[in-house]
Amino acid sequence: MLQHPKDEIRLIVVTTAGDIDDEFKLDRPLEHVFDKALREVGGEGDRDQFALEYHDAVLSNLSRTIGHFVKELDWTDGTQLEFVPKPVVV
Amino acid sequence: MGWREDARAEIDGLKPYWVSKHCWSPRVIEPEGEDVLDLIVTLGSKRLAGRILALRLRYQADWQIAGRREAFVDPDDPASEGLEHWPPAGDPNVRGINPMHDPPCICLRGAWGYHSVLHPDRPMDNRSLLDLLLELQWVLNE
Repeated sequence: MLQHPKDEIRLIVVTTAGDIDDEFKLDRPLEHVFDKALREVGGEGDRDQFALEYHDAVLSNLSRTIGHFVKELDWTDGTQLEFVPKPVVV
Repeated sequence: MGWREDARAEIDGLKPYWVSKHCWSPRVIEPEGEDVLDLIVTLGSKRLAGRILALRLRYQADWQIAGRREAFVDPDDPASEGLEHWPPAGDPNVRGINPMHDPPCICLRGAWGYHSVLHPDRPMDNRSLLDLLLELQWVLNE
């Protein structure tokens, strides 16, 4: 029987509060993951003071789809990201 | 709870994932006869070619307002402090760490240097120890 390709991926996001372990649609922008992590840490008012990272590199283009990162970085179910505060040096 | 219990609670509450990832090895020292609680944290720095540093965050009765008093100490002998244990001021320096300031201090939220020396108009607002350590780790690695 022909199988439909999976249209979701399970991602784990480690934050400074609770961790996120959820399925995300591949056609959604990565910003969707960022926003969920932002809510988890209660940082909604300080959006620019956080970063989403994979293998210690900041994922900067959040408007790209999750599917784009799956292809480019070989993400698989259970891939782990990190959500960290960015230093504010003034 | 008193200030000391609050300090212990936030240290004990450090998320094990981050402690393990960055090999912080937090240790608490309560010097006899002094009304302080010291947290010693080990920090590796990619920016400084893998140098291992030891940060002492000193909690005092006013820490929730004034910030945690910072100093870099000898990783092998935390009782020994001095500028030689701080990241260098010159190239490669570390953003936000100011060893040549009087007093030497760290310009990161949650540290005494930020809230009581450089930006006393900016309140602590419950800035967490974990956030401070992660931001410090960021600048040490970038």
